[in-house]
Amino acid sequence: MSRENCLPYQENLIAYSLGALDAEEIAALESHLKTCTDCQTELLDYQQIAAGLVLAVPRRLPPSSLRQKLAGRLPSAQKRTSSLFALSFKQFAAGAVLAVLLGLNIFSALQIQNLNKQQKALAERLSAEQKTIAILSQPGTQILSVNTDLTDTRGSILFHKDMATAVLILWNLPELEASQTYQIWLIDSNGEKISSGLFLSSTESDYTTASVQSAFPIGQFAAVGITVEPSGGSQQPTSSPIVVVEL
Amino acid sequence: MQFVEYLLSISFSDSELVQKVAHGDERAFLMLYDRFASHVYGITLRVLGDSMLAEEATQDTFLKLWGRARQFIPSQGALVSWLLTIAHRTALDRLKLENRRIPASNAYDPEEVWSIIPDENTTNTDARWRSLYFAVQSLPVDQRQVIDLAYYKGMSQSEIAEVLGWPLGTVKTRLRAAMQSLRGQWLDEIVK
Repeated sequence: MSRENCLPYQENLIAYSLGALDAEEIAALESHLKTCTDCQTELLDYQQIAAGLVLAVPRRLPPSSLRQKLAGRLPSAQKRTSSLFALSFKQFAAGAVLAVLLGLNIFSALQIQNLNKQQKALAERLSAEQKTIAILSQPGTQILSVNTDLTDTRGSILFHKDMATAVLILWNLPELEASQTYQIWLIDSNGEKISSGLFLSSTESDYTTASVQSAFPIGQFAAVGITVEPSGGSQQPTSSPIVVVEL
Repeated sequence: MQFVEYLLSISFSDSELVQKVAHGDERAFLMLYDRFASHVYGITLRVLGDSMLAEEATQDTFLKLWGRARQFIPSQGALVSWLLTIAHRTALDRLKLENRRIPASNAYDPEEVWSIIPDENTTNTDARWRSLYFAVQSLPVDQRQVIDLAYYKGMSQSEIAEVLGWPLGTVKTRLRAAMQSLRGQWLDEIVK
């Protein structure tokens, strides 16, 4: 092929070698290059020069942190990251197991506490019922009806005037809030009120038995009353009585 | 780099190191990084003109070296040429992505671009490239300017004409004059 035919393409060879040829001219040049060895040779020279231009740029030191970043992208660093994650996962798993065990411990402790309460309540009930039998076995024991302001709550009090104890048996006594308790008061002829025991309604049966504790024979008192007090009881009644039985 | 590591690295040629990299040798890879990071960062910074972007392009270039080390064929050229070609293309791709073509008023700073003399490593290849470097330096400013925008900013002739406000024919003439001058000196160097 005559070089005269190459003239329209020669100036484009230079731009092509630098990647600066406009898109619409590329196809025509590439078509010419397929058949023109002279242009191929000339292009190769320019391409070598273009390739050399990358080396004609001054060197610049990159920040030292870049080497660390790059090293962090290599497989060994990735494995270290994975093992670190695995270690963290193991620690997390161990922590989770400890948390579950701690939770179970707390749950067990609460269960034991609850069982102790139930045991205490049962013991108190058994004691009250044994007292009931003991009182009933005494000649002269009196049984008085107990009427309350509460709709369904009825019951009896068993006592012997010479004995320092009595038993209350109350049906359908309402359950109190956790922060409350029933408190028994023995009331003398002067209206003095002496705390004589705390109790809660039975959750096991329809009736509740409660012992009335006294340092003196019950016969010395004029009445017995029950109030609702804060948990732990009060020195003196803080609310109106739900029960008052004259003895 | 520690001194012992440096002594170890200079005992290996580029080809030996890149073969080790092809087999997953991370130490050899970092030796190549230490050897060529300034070359790669130089070209990516020249193209992108932003240190953060240049760092990312440098990292991408070396990750390509890590992934493509098996593709390098020593008989076809020096590793540094292959690596810098990758760096140049990576930076141009990033430049297109960022669409960060610099405004015409700041397009060219001959002092900044060409004032630093490359390190004088003494191999035949380096000597030729160094001659090319001085040849570029000896070009008239307007010719260097079009080469700079075409090669280092990835602009077409039409885009250069638009950015510089020159007729397209002027751009083509200056580009041709610059490259023919370089070609002449390049061929002379081969004859020597």
